[in-house]
Amino acid sequence: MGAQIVSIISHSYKMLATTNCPSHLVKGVVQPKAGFQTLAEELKCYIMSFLSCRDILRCASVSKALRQTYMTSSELQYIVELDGQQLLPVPGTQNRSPISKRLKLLRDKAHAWFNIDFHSFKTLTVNSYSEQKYVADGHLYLWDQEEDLATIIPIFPKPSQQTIQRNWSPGTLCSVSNSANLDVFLDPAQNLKAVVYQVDHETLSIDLGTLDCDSDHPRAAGRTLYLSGPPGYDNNRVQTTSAKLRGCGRHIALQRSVEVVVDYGAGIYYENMWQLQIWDWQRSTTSNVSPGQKLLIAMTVDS
Amino acid sequence: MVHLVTSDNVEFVVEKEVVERSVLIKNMLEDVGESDQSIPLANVSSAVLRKVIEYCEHHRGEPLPSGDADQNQDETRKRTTDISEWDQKFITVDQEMLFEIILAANYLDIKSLLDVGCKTVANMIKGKTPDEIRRLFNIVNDFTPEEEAQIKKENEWAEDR
Repeated sequence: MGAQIVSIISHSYKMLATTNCPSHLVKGVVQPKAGFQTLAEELKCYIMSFLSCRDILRCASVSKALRQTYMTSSELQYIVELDGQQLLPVPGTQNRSPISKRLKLLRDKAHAWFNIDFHSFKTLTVNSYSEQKYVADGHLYLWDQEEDLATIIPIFPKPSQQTIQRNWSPGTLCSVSNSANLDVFLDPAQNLKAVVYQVDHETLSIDLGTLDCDSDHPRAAGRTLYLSGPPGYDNNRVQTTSAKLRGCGRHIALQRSVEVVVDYGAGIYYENMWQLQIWDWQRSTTSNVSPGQKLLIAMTVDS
Repeated sequence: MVHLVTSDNVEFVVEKEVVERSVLIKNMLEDVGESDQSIPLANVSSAVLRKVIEYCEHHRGEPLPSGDADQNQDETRKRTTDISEWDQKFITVDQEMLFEIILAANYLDIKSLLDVGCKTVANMIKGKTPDEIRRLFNIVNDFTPEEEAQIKKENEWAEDR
């Protein structure tokens, strides 16, 4: 409710905004008794917006006028819809889009289930036990690290959209031969395939290509994105124990857990740490996006 | 000092710092500059203005909510109907005065006071059945029994939790 609430009470009142209006003119204005019912719609809504879903619905059951107040307020319906879907508002993140739009999104989401045609289902057979399953832009992609198999299948194809269906057999996903692939990110919207791999158990790189034919991506700054080691350990051996790759638009992010070998003279010990690097893959092959920049990358980080 | 004249023609002389908690008056003063002429407030009676000034006096010097920060706090603010102790005491008035204060706060554009008033009304509504709300605000039930049964059925899901 960022907007100012304006327009109050009945028409008989006029705001006297100038100081040169003689005060005797306003004498004797008869005001009706103030009460909940005589409040302007905006104020009733504002009051009700402090209430919970159940209390809002109870108010909307009081009288036709209050039902109308509820039925014409996106904000009140939004509170009820959120609660109905057992969702919580996230403060500070959603202020940008208008509440009516957010309400529509919520409702569309709920109604989507009713539009599913259960007779049009088809069964897909997917290779082995792919542990990694993602839905990206109307496609489902699976990746099996053990077998080095990958599949992408269109599941909700839109007429306007190019669909991609492919299977990669062992050794074909990454353009580098004998690579050990640690994670895969497929983005059908940009026809982008990114594979984080290592060849010698030490150096990690990211291979970029097109999704439909594995060629160099026309918008990529290069075929390979290069990683830097954890800062301050330039001369140490670094072993990656796990890596997660995600992308969003022109950014690619890699989170990895590493074991750094530290030599203290009398022997060695291993230090565990994790590192996050972000690339603007269309501009540069080295990660130079500073964390201070505003990024919309959703990542799950497990340490 | 600022001169205010209420709907029942009572003149109030108030410090500028106090009265400027009203965005309406603040803007007015900015527009016309310093003036000894009184500002007529046709929508506010002296009894209500006295309360409003009491509120502004108590909260004098507190930062006014600015547009942007306000928006960010909005969603979190909504989750709470907490009212500070002083405000709670201040707003313990009869129902008519409570709504008069809300109307005045809205008209004079004093956001924090408007919130105190609206939260108080919300707290009065909380947990009450439609029938209890009708009695509280003297509202006539104009639904037919069929309509009422239908609405009750539609809202069942929210009652069960």
